[in-house]
Amino acid sequence: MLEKGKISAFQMAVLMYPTIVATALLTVPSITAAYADNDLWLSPIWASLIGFVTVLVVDALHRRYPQKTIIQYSEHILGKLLGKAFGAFLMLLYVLLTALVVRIYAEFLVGSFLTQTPIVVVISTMLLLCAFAVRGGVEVIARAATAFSPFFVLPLLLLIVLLFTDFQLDRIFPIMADGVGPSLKGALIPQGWFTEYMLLAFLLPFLTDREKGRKWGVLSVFAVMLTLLISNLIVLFLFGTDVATMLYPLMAAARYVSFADFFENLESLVMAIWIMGAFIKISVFYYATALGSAQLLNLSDYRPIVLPLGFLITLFSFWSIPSLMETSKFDVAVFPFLGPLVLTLLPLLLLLLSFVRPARQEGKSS
Amino acid sequence: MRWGVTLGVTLLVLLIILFELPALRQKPLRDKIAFFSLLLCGWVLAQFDLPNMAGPVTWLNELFKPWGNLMKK
Repeated sequence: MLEKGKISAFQMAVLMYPTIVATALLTVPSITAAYADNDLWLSPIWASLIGFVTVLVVDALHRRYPQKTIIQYSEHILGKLLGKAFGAFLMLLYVLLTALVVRIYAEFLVGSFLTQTPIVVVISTMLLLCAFAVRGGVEVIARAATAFSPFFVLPLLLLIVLLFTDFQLDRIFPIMADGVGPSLKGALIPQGWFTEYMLLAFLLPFLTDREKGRKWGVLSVFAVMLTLLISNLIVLFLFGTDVATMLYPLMAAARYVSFADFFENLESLVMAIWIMGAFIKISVFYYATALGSAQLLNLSDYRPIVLPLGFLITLFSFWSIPSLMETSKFDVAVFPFLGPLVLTLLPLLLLLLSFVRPARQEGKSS
Repeated sequence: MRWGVTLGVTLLVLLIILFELPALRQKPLRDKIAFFSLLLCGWVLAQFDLPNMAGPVTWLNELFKPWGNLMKK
């Protein structure tokens, strides 16, 4: 076994929460609003359905192949050659996804706060920090997540309390003026984020209480859905349909706070907390990439390849991405389709195949 | 060629090797090959003008174009 650490199912759920929410809170409300107008708060509900499906599929696969990650059981199910090809494809995709997450994090930081800092510095320092967390193993990341996650919920509650007097609650009407269509189309964006729950395929094997994995996975999806719903409602009540024209609406909401001449410029606090979330998100993606690659290449340990992978991820975060335009184009036109296809549909296909070809697989292993 | 970048990247690769070498010595050959080939891949990639070169994001954009057009307003 490459990873000797163990986490509880609860820790796994807490770990996944910032992993999905961290970047989803940033740009998703405005992109959703562009399609759903004032129904944008409904979109996370539709979108979460694919999150539940993903968790159930990954959990069912794990029940059939306990203690194995998707890289290992795909070899069982598809055979050696096809399984390796699938694994290699998945790992390349994970390097790319990690790189995109880092890039979006860095673009946001450089764009709003560190305007004079070269972006490569922001990217490489964050990756170096995450590299040490990843080398520490799944336990370290999980403990960091349990320590940070309470702070991650705090700014959202704070925003509700401090901005409540500015809310125009009637902006929610008319609900579904043009039917469910717009909110469904808006859901295409956040559902890509929910498919990232496929990462559970790398975490479930290390649970101490495996039978609770499904319960906590589903609860985690539910918590993410609720968070996105609330944050979408906040920006809707505050800005109305103008949300669609903003780049980072929730950050704008934090900037909007001016309470008792004391609570001002809260965006710096939100930013600090948000960096913690980004740290968890990048670490989990990075960890899945490192562990998966080591299993794919049959290495004895994943730690030696963590830094070389980080170097590659840094390069991938620049490769064919000249500006923020490219990443948002990817978020809108590629990921809503790529995510469900690769992160939900392919595991589902693996699951179905594992039912079709059980005899051969047992014959092989004996 | 951008010599500054080449020099910097080479230095970075050397630092990573120096950092990992003590632990890597005891690992099987397979691990060492993986470690050095990943670094080599990175070193070679870093020599290009990556941001303005077609890459995975461009390819995926092309691949999903028909569906991406659905999202146009």
